[in-house]
Amino acid sequence: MKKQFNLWSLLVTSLIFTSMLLVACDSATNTPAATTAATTAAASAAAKTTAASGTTPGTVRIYSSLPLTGSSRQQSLTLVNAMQLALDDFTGGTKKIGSLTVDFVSLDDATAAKGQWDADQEKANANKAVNDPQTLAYIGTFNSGAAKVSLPILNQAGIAMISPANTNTCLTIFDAGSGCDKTEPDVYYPNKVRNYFRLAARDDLQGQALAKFITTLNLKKVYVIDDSQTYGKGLADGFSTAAKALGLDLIARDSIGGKESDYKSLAASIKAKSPDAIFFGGISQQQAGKLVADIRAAGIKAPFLGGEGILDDAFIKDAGIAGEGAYATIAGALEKDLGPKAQDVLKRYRDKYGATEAYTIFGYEIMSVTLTAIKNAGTADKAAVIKALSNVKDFDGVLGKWSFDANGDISLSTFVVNQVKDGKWAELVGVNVQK
Amino acid sequence: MSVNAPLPQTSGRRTRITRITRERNKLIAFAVLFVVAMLYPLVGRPIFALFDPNNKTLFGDITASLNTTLIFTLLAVGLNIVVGYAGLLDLGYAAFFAIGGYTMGFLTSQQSPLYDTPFHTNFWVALPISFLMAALFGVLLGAPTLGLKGDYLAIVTLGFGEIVPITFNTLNKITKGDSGLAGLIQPNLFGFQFTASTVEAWYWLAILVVALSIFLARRLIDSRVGRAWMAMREDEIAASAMGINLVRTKLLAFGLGASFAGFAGAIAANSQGSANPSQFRYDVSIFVLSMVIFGGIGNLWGVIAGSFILSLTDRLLIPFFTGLVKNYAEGIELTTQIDANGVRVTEPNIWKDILTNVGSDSRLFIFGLILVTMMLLCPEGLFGINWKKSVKQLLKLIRILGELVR
Amino acid sequence: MALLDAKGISKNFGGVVAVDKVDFQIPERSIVSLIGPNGAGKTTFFNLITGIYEPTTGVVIFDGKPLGGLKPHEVTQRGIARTFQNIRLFSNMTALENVLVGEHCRLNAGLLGAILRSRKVKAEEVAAKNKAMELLAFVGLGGKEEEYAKNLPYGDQRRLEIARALGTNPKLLFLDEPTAGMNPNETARLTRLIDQLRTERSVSVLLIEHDMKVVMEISDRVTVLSFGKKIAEGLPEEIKANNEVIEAYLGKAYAKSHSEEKEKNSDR
Repeated sequence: MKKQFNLWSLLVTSLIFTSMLLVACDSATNTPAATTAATTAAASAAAKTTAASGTTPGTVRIYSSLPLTGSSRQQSLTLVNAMQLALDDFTGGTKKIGSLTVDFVSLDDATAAKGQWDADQEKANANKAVNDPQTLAYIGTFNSGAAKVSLPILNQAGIAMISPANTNTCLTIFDAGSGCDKTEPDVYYPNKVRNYFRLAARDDLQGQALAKFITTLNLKKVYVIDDSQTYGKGLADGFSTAAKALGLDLIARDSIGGKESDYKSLAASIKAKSPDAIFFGGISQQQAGKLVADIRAAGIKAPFLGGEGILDDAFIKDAGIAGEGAYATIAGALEKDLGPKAQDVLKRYRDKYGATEAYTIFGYEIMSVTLTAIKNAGTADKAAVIKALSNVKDFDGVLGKWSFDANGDISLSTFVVNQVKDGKWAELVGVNVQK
Repeated sequence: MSVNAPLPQTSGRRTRITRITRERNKLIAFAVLFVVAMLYPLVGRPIFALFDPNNKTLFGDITASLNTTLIFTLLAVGLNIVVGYAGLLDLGYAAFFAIGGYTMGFLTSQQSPLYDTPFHTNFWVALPISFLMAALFGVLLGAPTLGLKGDYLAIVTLGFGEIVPITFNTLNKITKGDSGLAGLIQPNLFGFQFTASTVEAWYWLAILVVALSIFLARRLIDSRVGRAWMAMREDEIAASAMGINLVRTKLLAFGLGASFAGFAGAIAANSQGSANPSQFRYDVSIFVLSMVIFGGIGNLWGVIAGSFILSLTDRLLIPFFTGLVKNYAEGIELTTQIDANGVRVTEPNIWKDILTNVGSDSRLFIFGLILVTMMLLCPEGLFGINWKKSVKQLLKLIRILGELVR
Repeated sequence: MALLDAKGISKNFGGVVAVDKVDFQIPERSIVSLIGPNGAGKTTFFNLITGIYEPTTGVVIFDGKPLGGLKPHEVTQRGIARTFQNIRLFSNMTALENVLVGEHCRLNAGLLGAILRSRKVKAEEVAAKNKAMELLAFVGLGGKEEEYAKNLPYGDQRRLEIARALGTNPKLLFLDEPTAGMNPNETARLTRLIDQLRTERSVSVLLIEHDMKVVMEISDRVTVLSFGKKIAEGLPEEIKANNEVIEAYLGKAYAKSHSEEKEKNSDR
C-alpha cells in the first residue's frame, strides 16, 4: 500500500513539475533580457539580431553543413577546401572584413551510423547556427532533402542560407512540371521572407539543357529512369517536361531503388523498346554505374545521359568500360572559357589540395559571394546580409558574371556537357538555355 | 515434510522484504535521476555558457544530441521488449519507427493528402494515434512470422524493415516520395509554440516520454504478461505447456514493442518538421539493435546506458575528438627553407599528414572500431562485463595483433 | 467415471505407427504408471493427450469433455499439467518466477492490468506469490525462491518442474521420468512426494518411469506399452508376473527361461 502511494505521488508531482517548467520556459523565451536561443517567432529573432549588431563588432561566423562522412564525402571535402581558399584570398589571410573577423566553421550533416546525410544531424546543425548569436550565413546543404529540413529553421531565425549544390526546383519556385506540392516553396519559408540562395541550377533548367543537347544529337526516342530520390526524380521530371516541349518522344519512365543486385530485367525492357537515348536522373551512389554496365551488357548502344549526380569518379569506377561515352551536364562554363581568375584559382587549389572536382569552383564562388555580401552589408546584421545577397547583381566571380534573381536562384543558364573518354570525364560542349 | 513447512515460509518472507527494499532503492534512484534530467536544461545552460563564452552554442549542441539520443533510448527500450524479454530477434524494428513518423506526417503535415480534411489534427492528438498505428502494424506484421524462430524470424523482419520505408518512398502521390512530407505543424502547449529550434521543450517532452516508457517496461516485466514473455523466450514448448497462449503473447510483444517505436517516430518526425524515408532506413534497426546488445539483452538499465553511449559517441564524442586532432594538425608549422639554388623547400611532415587524415577521414573507422572492440570485450553487455576476462581478452587481442605486425 | 478416458488412440508419423489403438483410463485420485521399453511410444502418448501432437484416430475425454483439437495451453487450462523428460525449466528465471509462470493461466491480469496495477491486480499478484511460495515449500525448495533455475542442483530442478506444473492447478499431472538421473535417496524422497500429490492435493498422476521400484511402490494401476501397442494393464503385482511384459523388456529367451523356472518352482 505504501509503495503504491509513493509511486503515484511521484508521478503526479513530476507531472506538475514539468508543466511548471514548461510555463517557466515559455515566459523565459519571451523576456527580451533573456539570452536564450530558443527563438519562437520571427519577432524575437529579429530583436536578437539587432541587439547583436548594435553591440561589439567582433567576430562573425559562417557555418557550412555538408555530408563529410560517407558516400558524398569527396564532393563535400572539395567544397570545404575551396571555401577555405576563398576565405584566405578574400581577406588576404587575415580573416578580417573591415572590423569584422570572419570565423568559418565546417559542420558534418552525415553520421557514421548512417553513412550519409541525416535529417536529425542537419536539424542539429541548423540549430547550432540559430543558437549562435554571431552567425551571419549558413552554407549548405549538399542534398536537397536536407535543405528541406534546415531551411524552415533558418528562415524562422532570419539567417541567410546559401547552397552550392541543391537543385530541387521546388525549393525556390512552384513548378507543376517538376512535381512540386501546392504548398511548396512557401512551406519552407514560414517567416514569409526569402533567405535562401543557391549557385546550382534548378533541375528544370538542367532538364532543359539535357533535352536540348539530345536534340542536337538528332535523337528522338528517350527512355527515362530515375533513382527514386529527391534529386533524381526532380531532374527526371524537369527533363521530361522540357523534352516534351522540344518534341522528343518519351517512350517509358522507370525507377530504380539503388540497392538492386542487378538491372538485367530493366535492361531487357529497355532493349524491347529500342530507345535512341537513355536518360538517368540520379546519383552514382544509387548504382548508376551498375545500371549502365547492365544496359551495355544487354547489347544496347543508345547513349546514356545524366546530370551532375553521375559526374564523378565513382560512376566511372562502377561502370568500367561500359561507362565510356556517357554524358553528364553541370551548370557553368567550359573550363577553357573560364576567365583567368578561375584558372588561377584552380591552379592554386591543385597546388594546395590536389585534384580539382566539378564542385571546386562552386565552393570558391559560394564563399566569395557570401563574404562580398557581408562586406556590402557592412555590419554583423543577419537581415542586412540577406538583403545584400538578394542585391547581388552582375557578380564578377570565377563562374563568370551572374546575379541572384528574386527567388534566390542564380541567373546563369549555361551548362557544360561532359563525356567519359578513356576512363575520364572530359568537357565536350556548352549548352545555353532560356530561363 | 509438513514439519519443515513453516521454516521455508519465514525465510521466504525474509527474501521478500529484501526484495521490496531493493525495489524501493531502485525507485528512489529512478526518481532522483528523473528530477536531475528534468532540471538539466535550467542548470545546463548557464554552466555550459561558462565553458563556451564566445558563441554559446555548446548547450544547444549537447541538448540537440541528447534529444536524438532520447529518441534512440525510446527505440532501444521498445526493442528490448521484443528481443530482450520475448526473445524474438527483430531486425526490422525501424519499420515501426517509420510508421509512427509517417502517421504523424499524414496527420499534421501541410503537404499531407489529409490536409483540409477533418482528419488533419494537432500533435497532441496525432501522438497517441501514431502510437496505436504502430502497435496495430506491429501485430499485423507480427502475425505472418508466428511460426518462425531465430534466424528465420530475423530474415523476415529484416525484409519488413526494408519494405516499409521503400513503400513510403514509392507511394509518391501521398507521401511525396524521397523528399518526404514537409511542413509538419508543430505542437503548441498552453500558448508555447514548439519549433525545431526549441531544443529544451523537445528535451522535456522526450524525457517525459522516455520516463513513461521505462515505467511501462518495468511494470510489464514484473507482471503476468512479462513473465509469459520471458518464459516464451526461455522455452516455447514448456511455456505453452504452462498454459501460455503463444500466439497472443508473441503478438502482444510485437505490438507493444512497435508502439514504443511509434512514439519515437512521431516525435522524431514532428521535431524535424518533416517525415522522409531516409530517417527510417534499416541502419536505424541495426543501430538500435547494437544498443540493445551492447547494453545487455534484456537488461533495461543496460540498454538505456547502451543507447546513450553509442548515440553520444557517434554524435558528440567522435566529432569532438576528430575535431581536436584536426585542429592540432592544422597547428603544426611546416618548416620551409630556401636551399642553395634559391628554391623554397617545404619539409614533408608525416605526422601532420597522418593527423590531418585522422581528423577528417576517420569518423566511420573509429565508430566501427569502438563497436567491434566493445563486442569483443563484453559480449554479455555493459552490465555483464567481467573485467578479468575482458582484460585477458584484450591482452590476447594485442598479442595477436603483435604477431600479425611481426 | 474415469478422470481421463482415451479410446482407440493412434498416431502415425508417415508410415511409422508410433501409437497403435490404445485404450487407456485414469480414475480420479489415482496414480497410473505407463511403462515400456525405450521407443515404445510412451512420450508420444503423453504428447498426444497434452495437445503437442494431434492423434490420427481416437478420442480423449477429460473430466467429461473431449480434448480433441485443443492447443497445449488450452489442455493445460482444462487441468492437465506435465513435466518433461529432459528438464525444460525457464533457466534464466528464478524458482519463484518459474512457478508464477505455471500459475499464468489461473491469473487474469492483462496488459492494462499490468500497467495500471489496480488494487485487484495487486491482490492477485500477492496471492499468486504466496501460492508459489507454498508450492515451493511443498516440493522442498523453500528458501530457494530467488535462485535462478539454471543454478539449482539436478534433483531440485526436477522438483521445481513439479512445483511449476502444480502452479497450473491441475486435476491430472503427467510426470515424464521424474526420477531419471537421481540417486536412491533423492528417488525415495520424490516417490514420497508423488504419493503426497494424491493424498494431500487430490491430484491424479500419470507416471512414465523406468525405475520399477518406484512404479511398483506407488502405482494404483500399471499400463505397459510396446511398439506402440498396449500389451498389458493391471495392478502392479499382476504386471510383475505378466510373461508378455517380461518378454518385451528382457527378450523372449529370458522370458521363456523365467517362466520355466517359475513352473519348476511351482512344481516343487
